[in-house]
This record gives sequence, structure tokens and C-alpha cells, in this order.
Amino acid sequence: MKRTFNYVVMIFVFTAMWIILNEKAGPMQIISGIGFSVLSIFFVNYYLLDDDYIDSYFLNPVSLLKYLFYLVFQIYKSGISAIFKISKGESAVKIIKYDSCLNKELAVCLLANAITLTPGTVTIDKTKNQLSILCFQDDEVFSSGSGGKSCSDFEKILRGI
Amino acid sequence: MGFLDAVLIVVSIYAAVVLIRVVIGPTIWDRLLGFNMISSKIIMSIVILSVVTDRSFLLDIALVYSFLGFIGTVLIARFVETRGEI
Amino acid sequence: MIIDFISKVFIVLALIFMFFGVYGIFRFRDFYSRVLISSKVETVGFLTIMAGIMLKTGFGYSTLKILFICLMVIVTNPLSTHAVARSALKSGYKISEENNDD
Repeated sequence: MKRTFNYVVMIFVFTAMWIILNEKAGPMQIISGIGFSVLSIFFVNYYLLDDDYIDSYFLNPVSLLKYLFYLVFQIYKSGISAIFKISKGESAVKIIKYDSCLNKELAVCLLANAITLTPGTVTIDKTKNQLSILCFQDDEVFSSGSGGKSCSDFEKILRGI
Repeated sequence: MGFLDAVLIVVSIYAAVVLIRVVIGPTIWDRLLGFNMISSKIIMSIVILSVVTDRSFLLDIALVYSFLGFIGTVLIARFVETRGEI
Repeated sequence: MIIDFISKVFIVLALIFMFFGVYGIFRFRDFYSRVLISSKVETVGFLTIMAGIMLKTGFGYSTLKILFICLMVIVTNPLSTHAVARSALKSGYKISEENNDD
């Protein structure tokens, strides 16, 4: 029941993308969009992935929107602080390890994406749920010695995905 | 000459300045970084051009170009990292 | 009228952001500092300029398509930055300890 609902949501999103790319919302576009969505999901299930598409790559649209809004807010906040860093011109960097409290593969990847997108930190490597992050010497954004039990706000949002 | 034309000229000047970093860059990764920035600026210029000339098919070209720049950067980075064996 | 003015403010703000990104790529001596700062400030500039253009064109299919391009850039831009930084680190390009140039 849950899986069928997820497939319907996925087909709806793909059809919306198809209509946007066609720039027209007639009945012909809607029917061909639904057809191509079903075809592409079928193709991915049978030829590209070992397990099903829904199990590994389904994103809850509500928490995805929440994640995107929070991400844009964070980007602007740290973009302004990056301008001060550019005008100051400090340049010593270091590598720290960060233990995430998420355990889904896709959620850890989205967290790494968000960390890379905010200026000042770049994810270098990922093993299981430990991320290696390159950052400035005097930054205390992701303090490595905090015990690792407290989740940041990003992880609280990403847990719902 | 409207406002968006001036914006287009400024973006082109930025891209030309980043090209200096691509030419003088000491390592290959500096060049890759510059290439990434230039491709992002080209996407910006295509979108502005599509608004100025009011032709919406240019947006499709911008979409395809974003894919191509991404694939080129990742491919060259992997090529350098594994020393020729992708 | 007021929306037109707001979109112009957004676009000028984006040009200022992008100026700092281009300035930062020449400001730092070390490669890792450059990769940390400059390419990301540029993403901020990209999002701001796209917001200004979306306000200017009004709601329609082209606005949704520009939104689609923004989503694409949000997903792919960190991936290419990560690929460049990881390639430099795995190939043995050393992190310099102090601010001295080589």
C-alpha cells in the first residue's frame, strides 16, 4: 500500500517535469508524460539497479522542500561570512572527521551535499557514516570532539527522508 | 542598451578574468576550478540572453550545458586521480 | 514597477557576490583555500541572479524551467567541487601548514 502510493507520487513528479519541459499542458502531453514516467521507472528497476528504485531513492517531497528552504537560508548565511574571509585573506586549512548520526545511505549523501554547498567546508571522503571534511583552521562549525551524540538541525530534518 | 545587456557584459568580463587563472594556474586542479566557474557563468549568460531576446528554447540549451559542464569536470578529475584508468 | 526595482536590486547584489568570488580566486595563495571559498560564493551569486530573473519574467513555463536549472545546479555544483578537491588530495597534493608560498 505504502509502496504503491510512493510509486504514484513519483509518477506525478515525473509527469510535472515532462510538462514543464514541453511548455504545454494539453491531454497529449499528460498521457505521454505518464507513459514515459512508467517506462523510465520500469527501465531503472530492471536494468540499472539491483534492488527497487523506490526502496533506495524515494524522497519524501515535504521534507525535501523543508530541506531545500533550510539549505538556501544556510547558503546565504555562510556566503556573507565567506565574503569577510575573502577580504581578510586567511589561508590555513585542516581536515577533521565528523561522525553523523544518520544511518541511511541517501541521507548521509544529502548531508555531504549540504556541507559542500555551504561556503567554507568541502567533504572529501565518506566511509559508512563518517565524513572527512576540509575546513579552515580556526573554524569551529563542526567541532570534532563533541562526543558525536548531538545531531545538528540538518540531520533532524534529513531523518524524515 | 537596457539593464540586462549591461549585466551580460559584466558577466562576460568576469568569465574573461577567471580565464586568466585557467591560463596561469600552477596545478591542473586550479585549471579545473576555473573551468567549473566559467561553465557556470556561461549558463548564467545563456539564461539572461534567453530573457533579453525572448526565446525560451535557449533555456533547454542552458539545461543541457549544465549537464555537460558537470560531466566534463568530474571526468577530468577522475582521470587525473586514477592516473589514466577511469 | 516595484517588482521590477526589486529584481534589479537582486541582480546587482548577485553581481557583487560574483565579484567577490572572482576576487577570491586570485586572493589566496593556497589551492585548498581557493577551492573552499571561491566556487561556493559563486553558487550564491547564481541563485541570487536566477531569483532576480524569475521576478522579472513573471510566472510562466519559462520561470519553472529556470527553477529546474537552479535545482540542477544545486545538485551538481557541490559534486564537481568535491570531485576536484578529492582528486587533488588523493593525488598527493600536500596541505601546506603555514601561509608561506612555495
